Amino acid sequence: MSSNDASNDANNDSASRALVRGGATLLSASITGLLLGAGIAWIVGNSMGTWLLARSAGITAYVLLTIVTLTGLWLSHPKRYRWRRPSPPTRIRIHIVLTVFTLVFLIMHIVALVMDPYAKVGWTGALLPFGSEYRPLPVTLGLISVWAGLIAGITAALAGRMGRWWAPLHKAAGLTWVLAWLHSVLSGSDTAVIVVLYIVTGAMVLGMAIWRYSAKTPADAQAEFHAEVTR
Amino acid sequence: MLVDYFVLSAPAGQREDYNAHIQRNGVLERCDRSLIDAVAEVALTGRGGAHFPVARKWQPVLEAMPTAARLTVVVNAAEGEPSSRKDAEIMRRNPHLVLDGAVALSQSLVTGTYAAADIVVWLHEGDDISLSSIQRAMTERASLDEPPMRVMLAPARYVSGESTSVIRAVQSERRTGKATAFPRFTPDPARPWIQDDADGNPILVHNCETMARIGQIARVGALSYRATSLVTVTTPGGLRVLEVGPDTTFATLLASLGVVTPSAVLLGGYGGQWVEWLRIADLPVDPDALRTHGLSLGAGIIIPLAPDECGLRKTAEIASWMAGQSAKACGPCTFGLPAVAELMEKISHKAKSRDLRELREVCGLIPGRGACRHPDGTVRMVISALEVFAEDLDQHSHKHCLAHPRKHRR
Amino acid sequence: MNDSTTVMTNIVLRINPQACDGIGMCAHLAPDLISLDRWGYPLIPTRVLDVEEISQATKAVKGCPRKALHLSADQ
Repeated sequence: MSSNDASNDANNDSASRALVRGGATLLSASITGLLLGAGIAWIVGNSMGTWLLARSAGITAYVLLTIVTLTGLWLSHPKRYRWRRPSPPTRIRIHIVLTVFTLVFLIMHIVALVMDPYAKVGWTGALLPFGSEYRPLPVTLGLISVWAGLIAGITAALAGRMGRWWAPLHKAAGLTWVLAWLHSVLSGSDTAVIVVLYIVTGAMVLGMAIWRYSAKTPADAQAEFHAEVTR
Repeated sequence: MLVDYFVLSAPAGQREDYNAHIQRNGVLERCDRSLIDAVAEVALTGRGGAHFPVARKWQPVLEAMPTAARLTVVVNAAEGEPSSRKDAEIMRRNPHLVLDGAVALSQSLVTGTYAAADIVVWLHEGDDISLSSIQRAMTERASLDEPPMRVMLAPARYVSGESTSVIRAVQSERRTGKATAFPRFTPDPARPWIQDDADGNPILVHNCETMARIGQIARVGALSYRATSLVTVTTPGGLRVLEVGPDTTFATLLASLGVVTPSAVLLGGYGGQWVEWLRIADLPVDPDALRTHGLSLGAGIIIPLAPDECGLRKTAEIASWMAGQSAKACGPCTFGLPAVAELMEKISHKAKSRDLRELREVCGLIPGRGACRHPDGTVRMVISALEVFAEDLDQHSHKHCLAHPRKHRR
Repeated sequence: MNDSTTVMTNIVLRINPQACDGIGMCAHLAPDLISLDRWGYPLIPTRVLDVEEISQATKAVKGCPRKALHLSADQ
């Protein structure tokens, strides 16, 4: 009996700690977004500040998400054991840390856009599909991308509590990246350099995904062996 | 006496049919609990290699019988290793002794009226002489009141002989009509038939020689048991199978076969261990005596290192063969054994201390982490080579070799 | 009381090595208990777990997408 109570306590304890950590991250990202936006606005001296922040945070979030996606594909690649460094636990940690950074820049991106009266996105655009006055479809794609990302991220973060369903749900991460790419291309293609960025990162993720999904998995090898030893 | 017999009653090269078998060995008796006591009394151990006490393996079966619908007794005659032939020799010469063992055992364990027994002989594909011998034996005793018997053919792979492979094959055939044979993780090693997708009926697997011994014990009882050993010795002229008495030493055994005194022998086969000749020469070829010296006869496989052979080279070849025989079902075996084989290959050419360190490290990551013992045996063999051939290892670090002293190695 | 506590805490973590694909989530969820080998497969302690360890091990068991880990009473 006592051991059960203790393990429940420990569970609740770590759950509340995780909640506090997550809340603190979100809050600080929001405040940073606001302060930076205000700061840049104050320095630049016009209302371009928040917009600049929104663009740069958005691009940064996209680049980070691309790296997260690439590390994720590598983490699940059947041939990953060929690389000794970084060590397997470190790889997972890198993947998680990059995800948190992506989240931080994403929140800065959203908060800055909501705060920017010229962007015509507003809270409705940030939270509801087709709620944006500015390019409703691309903004909605971004919104769905965020939802898919939250499903992939939150379920993985809760893996120890909610169980093994995090793994199939983690496939939503693929949707996150694809939608984020579309969102970026459709709502933020204003200079040639940016277009090159989208093409290069798109090719990288596509190539990595092909490499990952064309490789023989342990399950494939098992099935082959299974067939070989079945009479 | 060097050559004694308890199991191989038929002369070499001859097959004993049912009548000859009964004439020489007498009719089968003790198909009841007294067999269990007799086997426990002689402390018979499994001859598939593990030497686990046979009677202790029956305890969980006896416990399961009251609620079981049937008991399947399996004769495991699938010798996966090229250097083992003792089970094939028994199948060819004394098939009825093996079937006697299976019959006596199933009738001893199935005492209630509820359960039925059946007997399966597990044989490698391609072993046609054994197959025809055992099939003829089954036909010869078809008129007897005995449990139904049949042969199941195993894929000719090393891991097909693992008892969990056998159990998986029997269970998958019962479930799907097709037998799949490769090792399987057993949540409860004492009751290996317990699996999520199986019906819970006990399946008892014994090595072919073990079963033949049970057959003889059923006949002669504990008092007349002879603690002989069946060995397969690799000689320049090919594999030789002998049944020897417990007072035979390794020195007399090899001398009788005309084998030149080696520097070391691989005892117990590819998953066994290398032993210096001086350590083992005067020890008896007997599992119990060897155990007191910290050695195991395994499945009776004895591979003397030929004078012109390099022990490290031979070890590398065996390790590579064993890596290729992995079912690739468990990570430590799938990735570990090829790594061991590759490092051993490098070391057999030039023993760099970096590779040696790496090899020891990798060897430490493998044992006990697979569903079967295949990787553990391979690692044991490699580690024993590093100890026994330590001097040669030193030579190899300078690109020399004790087996080829003049020649500079590549 | 004493007896039942002993029984409750006599728990070991076990792995079905055939089910494991070396994903590594277990080591992330139970870092004090499980480490990964060079190929990414978990090294599972064979010892009886204490209360603190059981709570970590439970997370690893739950989070394994291949259902390869389980807690069982030490025989």
